[in-house]
Amino acid sequence: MQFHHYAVLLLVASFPVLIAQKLDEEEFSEELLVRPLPDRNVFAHFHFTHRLPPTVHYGSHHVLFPKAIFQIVQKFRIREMELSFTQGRWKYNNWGGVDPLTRLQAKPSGVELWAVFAVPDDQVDATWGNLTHALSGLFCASLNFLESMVMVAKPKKMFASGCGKEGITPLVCSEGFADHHASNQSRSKDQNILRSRVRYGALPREAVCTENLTPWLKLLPCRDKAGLASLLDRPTIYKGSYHSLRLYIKSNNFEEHQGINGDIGTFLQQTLSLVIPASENPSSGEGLKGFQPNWSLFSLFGRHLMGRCLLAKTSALYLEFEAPLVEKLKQLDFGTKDKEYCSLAGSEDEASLLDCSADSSGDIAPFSLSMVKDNDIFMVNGSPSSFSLERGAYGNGVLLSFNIPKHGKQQPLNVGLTWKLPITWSPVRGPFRATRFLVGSGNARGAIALVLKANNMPTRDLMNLHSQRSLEKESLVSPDMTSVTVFQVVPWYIHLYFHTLQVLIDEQPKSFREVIKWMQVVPSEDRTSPGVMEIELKIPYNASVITLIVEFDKGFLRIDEHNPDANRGFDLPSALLSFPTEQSEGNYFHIEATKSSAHFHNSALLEELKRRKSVQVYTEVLLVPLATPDFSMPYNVITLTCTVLALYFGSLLNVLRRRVSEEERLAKSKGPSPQGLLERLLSRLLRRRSVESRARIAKVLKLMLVAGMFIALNYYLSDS
Amino acid sequence: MYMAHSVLVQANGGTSAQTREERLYVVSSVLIFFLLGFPVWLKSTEIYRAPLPFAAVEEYSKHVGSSSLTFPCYFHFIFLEKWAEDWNETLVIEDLENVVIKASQAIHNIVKKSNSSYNYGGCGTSFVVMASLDAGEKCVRTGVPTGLPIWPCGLMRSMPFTLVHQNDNDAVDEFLNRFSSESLIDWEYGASWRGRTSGMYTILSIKENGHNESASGNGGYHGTPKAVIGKYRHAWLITSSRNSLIANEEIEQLSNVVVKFFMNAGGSSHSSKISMEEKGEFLPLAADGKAILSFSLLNAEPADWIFDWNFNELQVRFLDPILQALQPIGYLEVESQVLYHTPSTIQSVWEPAAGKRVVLFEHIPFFVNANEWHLDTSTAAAGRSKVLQFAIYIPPAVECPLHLKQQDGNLSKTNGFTSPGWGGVVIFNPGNCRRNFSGSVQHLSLKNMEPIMNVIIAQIRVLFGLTASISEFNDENMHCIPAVNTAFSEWEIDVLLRRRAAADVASSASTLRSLSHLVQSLPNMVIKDEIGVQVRNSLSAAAAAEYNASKGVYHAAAEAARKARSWAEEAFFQPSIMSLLYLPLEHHFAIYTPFFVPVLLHTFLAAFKEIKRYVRACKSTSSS
Repeated sequence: MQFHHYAVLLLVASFPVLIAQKLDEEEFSEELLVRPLPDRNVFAHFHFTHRLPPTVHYGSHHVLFPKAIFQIVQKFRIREMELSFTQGRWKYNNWGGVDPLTRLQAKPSGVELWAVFAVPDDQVDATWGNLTHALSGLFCASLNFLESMVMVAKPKKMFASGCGKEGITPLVCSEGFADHHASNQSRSKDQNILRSRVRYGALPREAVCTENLTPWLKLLPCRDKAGLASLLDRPTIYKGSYHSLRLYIKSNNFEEHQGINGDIGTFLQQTLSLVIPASENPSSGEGLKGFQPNWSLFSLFGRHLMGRCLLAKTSALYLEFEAPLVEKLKQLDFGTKDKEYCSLAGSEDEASLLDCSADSSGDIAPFSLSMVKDNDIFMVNGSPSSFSLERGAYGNGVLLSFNIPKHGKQQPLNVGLTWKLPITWSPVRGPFRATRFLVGSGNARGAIALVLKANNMPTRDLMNLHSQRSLEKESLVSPDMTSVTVFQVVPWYIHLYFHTLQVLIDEQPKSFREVIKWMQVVPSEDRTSPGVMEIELKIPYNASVITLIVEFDKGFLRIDEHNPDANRGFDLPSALLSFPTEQSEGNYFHIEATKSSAHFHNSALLEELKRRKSVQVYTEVLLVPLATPDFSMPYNVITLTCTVLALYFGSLLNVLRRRVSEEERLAKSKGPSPQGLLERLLSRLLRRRSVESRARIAKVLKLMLVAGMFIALNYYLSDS
Repeated sequence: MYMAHSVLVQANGGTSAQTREERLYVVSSVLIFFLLGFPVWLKSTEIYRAPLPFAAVEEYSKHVGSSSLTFPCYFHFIFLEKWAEDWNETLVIEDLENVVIKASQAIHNIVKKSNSSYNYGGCGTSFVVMASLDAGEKCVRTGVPTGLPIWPCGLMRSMPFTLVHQNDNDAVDEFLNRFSSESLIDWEYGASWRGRTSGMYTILSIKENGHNESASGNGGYHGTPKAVIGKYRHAWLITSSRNSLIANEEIEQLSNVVVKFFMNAGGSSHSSKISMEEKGEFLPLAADGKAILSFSLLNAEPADWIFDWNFNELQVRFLDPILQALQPIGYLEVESQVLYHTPSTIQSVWEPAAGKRVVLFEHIPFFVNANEWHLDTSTAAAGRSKVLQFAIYIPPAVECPLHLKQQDGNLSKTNGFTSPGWGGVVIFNPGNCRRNFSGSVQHLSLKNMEPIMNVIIAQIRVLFGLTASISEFNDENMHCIPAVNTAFSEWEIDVLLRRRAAADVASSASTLRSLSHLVQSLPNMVIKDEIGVQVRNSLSAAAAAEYNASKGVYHAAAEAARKARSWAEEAFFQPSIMSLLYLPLEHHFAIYTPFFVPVLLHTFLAAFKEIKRYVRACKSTSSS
C-alpha cells in the first residue's frame, strides 16, 4: 500500500516536468555570447532558436517560424540538417578547442552541408540533389555543385542523432530531444536505417559574403531591424578573422510516433560566430604594452543595441570568461583566500554547487557578482542581471547575463570590458592539435600527411580524470588508450592508395592491428564518387605525435572539368577529427540573480551548451596543384597536325600526278607559255600597252579578285 | 600509297597513253574517296532530332486561331402556369416552339451584336434552347435534344410560391436546386448525369396572376418583371403579364439574363480588342492548373503593436469552401506567414477633412515594399507554378487610421486593392489605434478577420476575372443571390471553366507553334524523343478537349485542355532544349579549314587539270 503511495507520488512529481517540456506554441529566442579572446580579439556568438510544436497538432500555418524552412523540411523530409558558411579558420590553439561553443561553431572554411532524410533509401540521392538546389536558391550560394554525387560522401558512423550507443561513437552527434523515449533495440535498428540516409558534402572554395547573410537574416522574425541582429554591421562582421554562419534543423515530424513522444516538432537553430578585433584603443593613461584592448559592444560593432526583438521569448546577452582567465583572476585577486574559494572542479552534483552558492552570499565569498563585475584585473561596464558558474573539467568559467531592455528606452545597452592590468592567458586547448599537409612534389603523385601533436595541457591531469570517468562507460577502449576518429573526403581526381596508409605514433610505424579500431574506406570512382576515409584509431595516452600518411596519384581532368582559374589548384575539403573520449559540455549553474532574470532557465544557448558531445577538430583545407593544361591546346593541335597532314597529302598527290620531265617537254614543244583567260582578255582590251604592263595589271586584278573573295566569305560568315 | 609508288616507277618508263590513264585513275580514286567520305561525314556529325509533327502543329494553331474552343450551353425556359380549360396541347406546343425560335434569335442577336467579346468563355453561337410548360399535372416540352436530362414535371404543384412572393430568394433557390437534383436521380440516366449539369441552365417564368390567391396581399409586382438569379444554375422571372401565355418582352428579358449571366458571368468588362492569350492571363493559374494563395500578415511596426492570427481557423472558415468550389478550375493551395518590420514604401498624407491618414490614389502602385516585404519565398512554388499574394497590412501607430483614396477622391470602402496576376493588399486598422506598450502579441479573432477575409474573397473573384461581388448587379428589377460560402456561384464556375479551357487550348496552340518555329529555326539543336512524345500528347489532348467540348462534357474537356497546355509547356521547357549544343559556325571553320581546305584544293585542282589534260591528249591522239 505504501509502495503504491510512493509510486503515485513519483508520478505526480514527474508530471510537471513532462508538462514543462511540452511545447504548444512557437518559440523564438535570441542570444548573444561575447567572450574576450587572449589574442586581442573578441568572440561573439549570435544564437537564434526557433521551436515549433509537432505539425500533427499544430498545423502547418505559423506565425514565427520561417515558411521557407518549414517548406524545405516538409518537401525533402529532412530529419536533420546542418549547413554552414565559413570564412577564415578557427584557431583551436588560440581561441579554445574543447569548449562546447567551439564544438558548435568551429567549421571548415567554405560551405559544409550534411543532412539526414526520412525518405526510402533509393530516393535519398535524388532528394539530396533537390535539397542542394533549394538551399542554393535560398542562400544565394553555389550549393548546387553538391548535387552530383562526385563530391558527396555517405558517412557510416557520423552525422546522425544519438551518440555513444552500443559502441558507436559518431563524430557529429547531437542528442535528440526525445531519444530517451524509444527503446534501445528499436533505436539501433533506426540508426542503421538512418546511417544509410546521411549525406555529407563540402565546398571548400565557396566565398561567403553578405548575399548569404541577408537570406539567413530573412529567416529571423525581426531580421536585422530590431534585437540582437541589429548589431550586425556588414563591414565589421566581414573584416574579422573568423566568420561562421550556421543553420541547423532537426525535425521530428517524420518520426513514427510524432507528436506523441517528441515535444518539439521542428527545431531551427541559426548561429553566427565572429572573431573580431577589439578595436578600441586603451585609453591614454593605460596605453601600455601587454594590455588587452578595452572594448564595448558599440566599439566592436559600430552600432548600438537599442532593444530586444519583441517576438523573442528570450533575449539575452552573455559575457563569458573562460576558465583559464578565471583561474588567473583567482591567483591574482584571491591568492591569499584560496582556501575559501569554492572549488567546483570535482563536484558531482548540483547540491554541492548550491552549497557553494550559499557560501557566496556571505561576505567571505570570493566569487560574487560584484567581484566579477569589478576586480583588480578588469571592469565590466553595464549591469549584469545574473551570474553563473561553469562546472567544467578545466576549472570554472564565469558567465554574466544581461537583460536586454525593450525597445523604446533611450539608453542603449553597451556592455563592455575595461582592463586594469596587463594580463595574458591561454585558452583550454584540445587534446591534440592537428595539421594536414601535402608531401612530395611534381604533378604526378604525392602524399597527404595528417599530424596530430599532443597539446601539453596544464590541466592534463584533470582531463585524465575526466576522461577516466567517461571511459568507464566506453568499455571497448582500454583505460590507457584514447581514441581518435578521422573522417576525410577526397575528390576523385586525387587517387588515394589506401594500401600505403601508414600510422606512425611518436615516429614509430605501427601495424594496423595495433592502432586501428574500426575503419571504413571507400575508394573513389572516376567522375562518380569521392574517396572516403573513416578511421577510428586507438592511441596510447602518452603519445605525443601521431602521423597518418597516405599516398596518392593525381588524376587527369578533362578540359571542361577545370575551374575557371585552374592554375590556382584544387581544394581538398577539411578532414574532421573527433575525440570520442573527450567530451565537451558546459554546465552553467545559476548562482546569483536579480529578480528580472526569471527567463534564465529557458536559455536555448545554455541548453545547447549542456549537451555532451565529443571534441572535434577540423583541419585546414589543402590546395593541390594539378597539371594544368594550356587551354588553347586543342586548337593548336588541330591546326598543327592538319597543316602537316595537308602538306604531306598535297606533295604526295603532286608526286603521284606530275612528271617534271614531261612538263618540261610539253613546255618546250608548246613554245611560249599559254596565256590564261585573264591575260587573253587583257591583251584584247589593252592592246596598246606592253606585255609587261599587262602582266602587272593582271597580277593586281588577280590580287583584287582573291581579296574580293575573302571579303565575300567574311561577309557571308558574319551574316550567318 | 604503295600502289601509287609503283605507278610512279612505272610512269617513268611506261608509255604516255598508259600513264595518262593511270594518272587519271590516281586522281579520280582520291576524288571518289573524298566524295564517298562526304555522306559518311554528314552521317557521323548528324545530331539527333526527333521528328516533330510540324504540319499538325501548324494546322492546329491555325484552327485554334480561327475558332476558339466553345462549349454548348443548354437553356431551358420553363413557364409555370395553370392549365387553362381552353388550351389545346398542340397549340401550346406551337407556342412553345415559337418561344424557342424567338429566344434563339434573341440570344443570337445579342451575341452577334457584342462581337467576339462574348465568345471568350461564353458559348458563342452553340447553344440549345428548350422550352416547356409546367402546369402541375401536365407538362409540355419542346426542343429537348435526346440524351439530355429532362427537368422533371410537377414543379407547379410543389413550388413554394409563398416564398417567391415573400422575396425569400435564398429559400427558393435552395428549393429549386434540391428539386432538380432529387428529381434527376430518379430519372433513368439521373445518376450518370448528376455531375454533368454544367452548362445546363433553367430559367423559370412565374406569372403572378397564376396564383392570385397567395399573392393577394402583395401588389408590388405590377409593372416591369423582376429577375432573380440563383447561386446554382437557376434563374426565375416574375412577370405580371396577363394576356397571352408568353409575352415577347418576357422572352427578350429572359434572353438578356441568359446571355449576360449564364454565358458571361455578368457581362464582359474587357474590350474585344484583347486577344485570347491576354485574356487567358486573367486566370491566375500556372500551366498545370495550380496556384498558391499565399497570405501574409504584415506588422509594419512591431514596437507599436503585434498581431498574429490562427490561420488554420481562417482557412477552415473562409478559404476551404472556396478552394472546394474552384476545384474544377484549378488546384489551389493555401499557405500563410506573419512578417514583422514591414513598412510600406509610401508615406501617407494627413487628410484633415476625414481626420484620417490616406494613401493617395497615384501612390498606390508603390505601396508594396518589395525590399522589406519578403512575400515571395515558397518552395512549394518551385518550377512554373503561380503564386497569388494576399497581404494584410497593419500600419504603424503614427499612421493608424490608414485609408486608401480612390481615383474619384473618396475613401476606399474595402481599404484594399488588387494587382492583376500578383494578388491583393488589404489594410487592417487596429480598433482604437492605441499603442500597445506591453509588447504582447494580440490575436486576430475570426470576428476581427471577417471583414478582411470578405475583402480578400472579393479580391480573389476580381483576380479570377469576375466582378468583386455578384450583388453589384442588383437593382429594382434584378436580384442576384450571392454564394455565401463558396463566393462563386455554380454558373460563374461554369463560365470560368469555359474561359480556362478556351485559354488553355489557345495557349497550348501558341506554345506548340512557337516550339515548332524554334525547332525549325535552330538546325543544330538536339531534339529528344520525349519532346516529340510531349508534342503529340498535347495535340491529342487538345483534340480530346475539342471533342468533349462539342459533346458538352465540361469537366472532361477542361481536364483535357489543361493537359494539352501542360504537355505543351513541358515540351517547350524541356531541359534538353535549354542545353542547346553550342557549336557555332566559326568553330566548324576553325576545325575543318586547316585540313580540308588545302587537301580538297589540291584534289580538285589535280582532277581538273588531269581531265583537261586527258581530253587534250585524247584530242591530239585522235587528230594524229
